[in-house]
Amino acid sequence: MSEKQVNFKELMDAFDFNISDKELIQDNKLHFIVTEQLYRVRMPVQKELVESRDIYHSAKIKLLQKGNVLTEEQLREVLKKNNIDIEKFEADLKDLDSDLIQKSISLAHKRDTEVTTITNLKKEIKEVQDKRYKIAEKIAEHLSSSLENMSKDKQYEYLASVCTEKYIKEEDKGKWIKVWNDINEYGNDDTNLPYIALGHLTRLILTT
Amino acid sequence: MTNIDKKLRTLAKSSYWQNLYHSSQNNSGINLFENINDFSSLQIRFIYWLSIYAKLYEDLDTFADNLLTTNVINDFERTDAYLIYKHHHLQHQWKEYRRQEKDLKNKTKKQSSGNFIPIEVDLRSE
Repeated sequence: MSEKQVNFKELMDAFDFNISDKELIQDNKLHFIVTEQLYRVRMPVQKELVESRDIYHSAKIKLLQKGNVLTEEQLREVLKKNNIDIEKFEADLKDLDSDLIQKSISLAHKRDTEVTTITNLKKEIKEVQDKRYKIAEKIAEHLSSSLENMSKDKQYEYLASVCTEKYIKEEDKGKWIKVWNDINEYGNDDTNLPYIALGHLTRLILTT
Repeated sequence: MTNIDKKLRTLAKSSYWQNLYHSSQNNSGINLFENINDFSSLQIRFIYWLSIYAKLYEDLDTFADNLLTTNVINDFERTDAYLIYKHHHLQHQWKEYRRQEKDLKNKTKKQSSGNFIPIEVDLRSE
């Protein structure tokens, strides 16, 4: 799946604008539309969660057997030798967090009438948040190729493959059917749908 | 803040969902969602924001804090700032309370050990 060309604009549109407010929370499923077809991702059942954990462990073993994948700890060391210091990035994040707390406390003390100061503080907070986001993104990007993260990707891809359903109309009533029969079919799908489904599933099951 | 978070918070602070939230807490049989278990992370985040806004509205109604105004609640950034301040403030208060409690314990210990006078009591009946 990683070799596919991803249309990011289409992905963003699918994530942010296809879902109405109430649909987000009315049940434990997320509905979305891709090229006029209605889909949904649902919460995995216990059996699927157990299977996904097995997939995580077997992916870890397979990657270890291949031999050219590093654990997160090893990757941090290699990156450090190449002047990419993750610990330093994490320390920067901590500093930005302290800065954010100070600025937020200052904003909290402003009265409604102090419009200009409020606007300026909000701008400063936004700048710190943007900086923070960029560093966090950088850390995630550098560590994405670690053994743990690659195995986790496989786990979530499996969950997306079993929990994505599409709506089909049959005579006067409709029903939900699985989009992909197995993980291989999911992996061979060269549209953006696997990515969109994965994004929605992550949103549905991961508390961020 | 993502668009999804904005949507969740806008719903959570609406009077419709606040009323539903309060009603659902009194064993009324009213459920917030179609499912009653296996909550999605979005639903869990939504419940979190429902409880946060419920507390903010309660504090606003009882004038619990003069830094909290309707304008603060209606502004996501100012609400975030207020929540950070409140958390920080409570943490500080808690630390201060623990420090005072420890001081008091030490003081009492010192006093009782310093002023201990043994008394002989005759328990025999007359």
